[in-house]
Amino acid sequence: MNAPARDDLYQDAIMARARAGHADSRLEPHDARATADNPLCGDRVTVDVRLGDGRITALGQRTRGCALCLAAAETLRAAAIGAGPGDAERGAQSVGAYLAGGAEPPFPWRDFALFAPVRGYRSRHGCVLLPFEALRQALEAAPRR
Amino acid sequence: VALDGAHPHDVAQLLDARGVAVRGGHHCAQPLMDRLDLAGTTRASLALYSDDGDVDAFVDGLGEAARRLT
Repeated sequence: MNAPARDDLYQDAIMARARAGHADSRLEPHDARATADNPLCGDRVTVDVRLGDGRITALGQRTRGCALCLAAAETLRAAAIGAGPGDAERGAQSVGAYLAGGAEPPFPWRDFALFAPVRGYRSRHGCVLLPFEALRQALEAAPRR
Repeated sequence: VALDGAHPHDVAQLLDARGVAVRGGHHCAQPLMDRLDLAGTTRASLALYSDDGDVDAFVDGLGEAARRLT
């Protein structure tokens, strides 16, 4: 007899984010754009950023991915406003450490504690972190002013 | 079977939670998936040792995937 099914990854709070309807909300005009792929599963996230004084004033994205990737991209869309150079790396590190069993991520990434159920599924951590990689690349590509 | 809006890896994960092993993704056929405009598919295969319980678990998991993901 199999153990009881574990469906905790797809709890309502995560699915609500995944269905938020911003999966194709590209930003025009934008100051920088970057696309990150997960070659293992084919998920793809494109992030557009508009900047003011080196910080994000608006963020658009197009995500083709699983429910976890969609929910993470939506969470990032709200959390990244105000982020500046280096913040994407720090965000990815703190959220990655949280998924690996560490402390809850600090502001402005605190909302990623929503992904607590993903901690038990190491193969899915990359789904949550892929939007950070797209954001990191976009900020890196942004013109310095 | 098409589950609109459901990603093949999410379907595979929910089936895995019921002890049903399937394969999700491109199946090494990314050009075909692009041509069909699909993110991928979830593929189930029967084997000589598969029994009614396995099929029931698969159908149960597919129903749960439809409820949660679509």
